Amino acid sequence: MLFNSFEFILIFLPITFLVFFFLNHLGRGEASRIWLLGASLFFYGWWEPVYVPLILGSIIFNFGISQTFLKLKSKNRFFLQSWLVIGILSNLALLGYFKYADFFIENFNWSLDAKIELPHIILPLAISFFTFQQIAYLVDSYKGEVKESSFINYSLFVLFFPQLISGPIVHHKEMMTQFHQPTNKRFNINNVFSGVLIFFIGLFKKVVVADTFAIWASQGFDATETMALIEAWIASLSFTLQLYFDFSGYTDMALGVALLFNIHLPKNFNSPYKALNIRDFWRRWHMTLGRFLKDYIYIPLGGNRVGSFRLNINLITTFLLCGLWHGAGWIFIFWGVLHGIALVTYQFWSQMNIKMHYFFAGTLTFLFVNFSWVFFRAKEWKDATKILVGMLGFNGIGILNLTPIIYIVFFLGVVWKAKNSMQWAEQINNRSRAVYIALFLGTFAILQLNNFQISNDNTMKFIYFNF
Amino acid sequence: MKLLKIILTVCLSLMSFELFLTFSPFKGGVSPVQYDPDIGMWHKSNFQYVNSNDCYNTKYEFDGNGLIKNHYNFNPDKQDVIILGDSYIEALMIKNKNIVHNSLYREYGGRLNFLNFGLGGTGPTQHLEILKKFANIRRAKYLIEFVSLDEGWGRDLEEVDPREFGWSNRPLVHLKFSDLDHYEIFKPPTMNIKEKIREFLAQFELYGYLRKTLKYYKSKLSVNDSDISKIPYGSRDWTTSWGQIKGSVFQINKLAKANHIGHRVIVFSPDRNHNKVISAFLELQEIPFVDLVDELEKLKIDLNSITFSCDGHWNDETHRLFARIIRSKFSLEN
Repeated sequence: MLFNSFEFILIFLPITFLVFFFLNHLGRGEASRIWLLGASLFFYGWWEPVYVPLILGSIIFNFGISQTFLKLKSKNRFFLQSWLVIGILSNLALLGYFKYADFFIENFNWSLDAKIELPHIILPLAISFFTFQQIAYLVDSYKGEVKESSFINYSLFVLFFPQLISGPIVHHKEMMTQFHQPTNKRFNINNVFSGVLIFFIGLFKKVVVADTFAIWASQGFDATETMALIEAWIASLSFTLQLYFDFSGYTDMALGVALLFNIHLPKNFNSPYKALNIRDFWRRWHMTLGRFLKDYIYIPLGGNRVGSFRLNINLITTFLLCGLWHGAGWIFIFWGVLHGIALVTYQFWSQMNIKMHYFFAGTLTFLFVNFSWVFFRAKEWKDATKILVGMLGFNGIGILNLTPIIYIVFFLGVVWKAKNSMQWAEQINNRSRAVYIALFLGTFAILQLNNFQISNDNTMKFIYFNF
Repeated sequence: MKLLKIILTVCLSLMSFELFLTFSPFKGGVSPVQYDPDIGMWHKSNFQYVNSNDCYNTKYEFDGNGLIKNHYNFNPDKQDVIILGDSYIEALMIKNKNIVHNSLYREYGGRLNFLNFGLGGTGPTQHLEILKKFANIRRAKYLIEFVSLDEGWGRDLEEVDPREFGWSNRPLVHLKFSDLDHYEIFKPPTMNIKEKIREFLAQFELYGYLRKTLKYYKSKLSVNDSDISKIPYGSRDWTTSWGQIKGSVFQINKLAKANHIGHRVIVFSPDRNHNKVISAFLELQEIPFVDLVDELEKLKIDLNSITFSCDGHWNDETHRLFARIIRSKFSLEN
């Protein structure tokens, strides 16, 4: 089910919300959690019910291993380590089968001139997210940092529908303590106001802003053979803005919905296009993925406690894997490596201790990110080349199309200069102001949502659903 | 006070949405026509907008007289060719350079000015009044009239009296022929308050959006419109319709002759029974004509391939093709 669908907004969410608090009101805390769990499974299964057993199987398997850690903590270390390795490899194997089978076979066929048929497996929704979340849980559990003995609680940690599909990637300790707090079992009007406001900000960002830029990005990336300078820049900047408003819109909706249930999910965005360098960018963009990569890949590889050569290799390896996590293709790997190289370059630059004026630093960072998104969006290498050749002006200047240019200039101003939605929502402490803003944005976004419905009989999917 | 603020907030949101629709790729369309006391409606002058559907997103434009804009420079030293037709000729979904009048201009080497008086929802009876009211007959050398005679393809046989449809967005002038030479003109009714409000609202994107929304949810709920075309095919008595069509074509021809204008009729009639009736009439009146369906059959072109996939109107290639066919049939000497 999509957050930007009428069935979610008008039926699923109100019913889930009301029954959850009704059960809590009756003092049935356990029943309310089971209800939320059932609702989350329904939310997941709405897209493709056939994958519900898959996610349940994954949950049972990982919960089983974590219980082994809990019960056999006194046993020898090797035994526990073996279980951890089995757990992690099994999770990666599941991800590998569903997400990377075609990619591996394609490369195998190419390198050995073999002709193995591609299985074309449909990617189960959210598999990258719930796999990473559970690997993190296994590692934390192995270290003894989490001790969850309730299957219901563990399942809810993985399945809680606001964060299930596209994150934020949460830690167990961030989530489950909140479900157990007695105050969180009570209906909280302040959280409802804030939640609704943040949800509508997110919905507006998605259906009004991101989906508008999606049209211009798609015209450039998918529909045009050659691109002149202006058209190529319109296409690349449109995608840069589309991706930000799409994913941060989704995150806002997730945070807003979770807040209705008195759950505070971690922030995932902090005005990333305001970053003054590439490290700063990764501290602001998809923050929970960055945290995961740092805690579970970069630091175990040695992090910055090793020599500068190893550190640089660690950075590039981490981002290579980041690229691979985003998509099974060389183009995604290239995108990841590009960011790894940029971080290594930044590392050298900071060691030289030369300060760059913040305007140039910000512009340079943004231009690099915009350049790298071209590879992220392109379906094939030739699409990326087409856009880059156009951006460099090799195909002439092109025709001035004012409407997308006005939108791009305006929303670049927003992402560079305005407060982000979280800062905005935090500052609105006046409840009636929040109501009017939510009403304005909500009305606008629902009208546009309906526009998609009546025009295509469909709603636009989120970009990160592909990962 | 709170209620007032809520209403104001919603109104502000609606106004912002109207602006967004107007200046975004989601333009749905505003009304391109305005009330005309003689025809019922006519194109707004110097108007341009975008016509969007799943398979096209076309910018269209009218000139100062409300005609479909030319893709060539009008030369007052050359004589004109007046083109009459319905929405197939008006062609708001076709790129301007491909619309039949612009294609004909190219086919005839720019020797004459081709002027497009096409208007959606019209048939021969309305064409006569459009010709009398808007065209400068004295400048014209030829007159090309498109007559469509089948359900789903323009439906002139059904549409002789637009009032039967009860649609307010159609040109409501009606001519009732007692015989070829005698007819009565029923002027469009004056606009009532409801129509005035509707015309005002139709200038806004939100109006079209609302209509589209209602249509969508009505279709989801399977509420059927009572539409004249739902009458089983073949069971219709066309006597009156033929009378109106023949009378109008006759009168247009009479007007053309009086002004020394060459009258040509382009028939589009997938129903071969209809084709026989109109062909016999045109031959009797000695009006040169061409049946496009005959020509398509000769070229072995499937009728289903000449329209848009999301809309029954002729596509860009069809407009160019029909211009070539007309060129091959009529020399239109200067």
